[in-house]
Amino acid sequence: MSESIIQDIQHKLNNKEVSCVQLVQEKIDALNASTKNANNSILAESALKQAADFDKQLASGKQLSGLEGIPFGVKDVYLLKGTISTASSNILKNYKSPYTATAIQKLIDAGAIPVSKENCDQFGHGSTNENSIFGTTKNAFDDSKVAGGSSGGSAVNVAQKNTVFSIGGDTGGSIRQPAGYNNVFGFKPTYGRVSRYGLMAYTSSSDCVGPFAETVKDIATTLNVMSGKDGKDQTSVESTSIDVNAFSKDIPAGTKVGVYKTFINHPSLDPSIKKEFHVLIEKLKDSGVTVKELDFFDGDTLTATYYIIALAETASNLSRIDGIAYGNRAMDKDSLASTYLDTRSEGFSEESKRRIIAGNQVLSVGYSDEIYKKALTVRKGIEAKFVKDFNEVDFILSPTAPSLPPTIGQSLKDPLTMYLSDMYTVGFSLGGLPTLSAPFEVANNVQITAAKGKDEEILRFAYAIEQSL
Amino acid sequence: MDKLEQLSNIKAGDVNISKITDFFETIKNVKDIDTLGSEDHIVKSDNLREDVVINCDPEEKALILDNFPAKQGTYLVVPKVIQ
Repeated sequence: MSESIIQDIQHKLNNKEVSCVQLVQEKIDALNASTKNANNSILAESALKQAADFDKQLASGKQLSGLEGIPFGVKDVYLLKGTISTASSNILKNYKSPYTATAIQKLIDAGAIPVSKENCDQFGHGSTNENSIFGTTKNAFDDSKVAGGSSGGSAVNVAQKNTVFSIGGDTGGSIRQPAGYNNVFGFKPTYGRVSRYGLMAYTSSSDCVGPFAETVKDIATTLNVMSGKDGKDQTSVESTSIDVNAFSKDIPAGTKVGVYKTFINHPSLDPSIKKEFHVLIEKLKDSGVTVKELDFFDGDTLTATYYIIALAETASNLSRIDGIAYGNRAMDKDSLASTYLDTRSEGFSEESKRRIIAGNQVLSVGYSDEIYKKALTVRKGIEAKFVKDFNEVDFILSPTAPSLPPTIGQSLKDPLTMYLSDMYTVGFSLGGLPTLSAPFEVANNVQITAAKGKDEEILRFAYAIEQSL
Repeated sequence: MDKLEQLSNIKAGDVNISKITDFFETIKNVKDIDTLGSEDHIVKSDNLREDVVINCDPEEKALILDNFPAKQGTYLVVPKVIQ
């Protein structure tokens, strides 16, 4: 396995083994031929134009660097100027992006070429990518199984090599879980490391922008480009660039890893995942890593805390989508009130309506103190526990999802099971912690989490494991 | 449910929220929360940008207008607010 697909492709471009137009055309052909439902729209015309510009530069003797000439995918919740950005919803089916999201613009400025707006659960509302007007995205390895979600299309495109990397969004596991279901790397950075400007908001207090890729180095390279303080996102923070060339194949001496007993002993954890997870832990011990078992909140509490906060925030965030200034409006209604009512009832899916209505309940009199504010207090407790745990260990390792990818259609019958399947990912989202979902011989991937701001440490550790397996 | 429909501007129809409201009991039953040492992961907004209007470029303006759902000539059509 190559250490960097991005570097390999650029090497071929610079050596004129392939032209940029040929490369982009190959990807577009593959995206068009895919039967996985991973793409809401394919950006052939603009991508080929950018590729032709790079070919001209190559012909004039320039060597490409950074992300120049690299085709990538964009989850269809990011604005990309002039393209249709639907959030996989009916209400925004024809919405044209007036500007480009900061993270995506930085990638374009670094020379990367967007080739696809990728399928996802509507407004991020789902863990299976079945909640989409474009249909269910199928798992990269089994058409009968879901791709995971909400960033399912992005994970599948990378797994099928139809994009070199893709940009997903992770609120409660929406990058990490589909990365696991499709056996690729997916990274949720520290909250604020990458600007959220131009990302359609789901849960603003935990929404994160992050990449999918085939190697750790490619995750680091794309993250470096997107990171940084942005005046258009007050929650964004400065960060230092990760030195990809300084990655070592050796795990640093004295590395300490924590494992949450409540996660590993949860009855819903598939025995095969548990077994593979233990094998990985034993390998790490053999490499000199110290492993410590830790107590943590149970999965039900984590899931309840996350969903209560997420529902409240999405009800608030999506209240702006009413068909007045943009979006598909229900026409010829008697009044403003009936226009709102019909526009939103026709425009949102059943799952999105469920979350908006429940979110308004959480925020209403009689519930806000007892439910919403209590969830915020529990979140504080979770954050405090992380601070204590990372005084004892460098990383926490955990499974990404308790069960193997469900069969398409199964989760729609029982949404509660789908919500509970997020139990291993949502806690780290509530803490705003960086977490990598890595395909390290454990079904559904393994999560590697560190303290806030320790994104580089995770990727260094993961690189050493990647090279040793 | 009528009040929630009104708050949400959504007709609930067959939408069942009982699966989600099960979480309410779970959160009510959480006891002994130790928040000592917690730190806000949301960055404090102590470095606010200037509160000034910045005009968007003409292309952006055209796209915003193009997204407007109803037009008559150069007028933007909105539903009646006052009956």
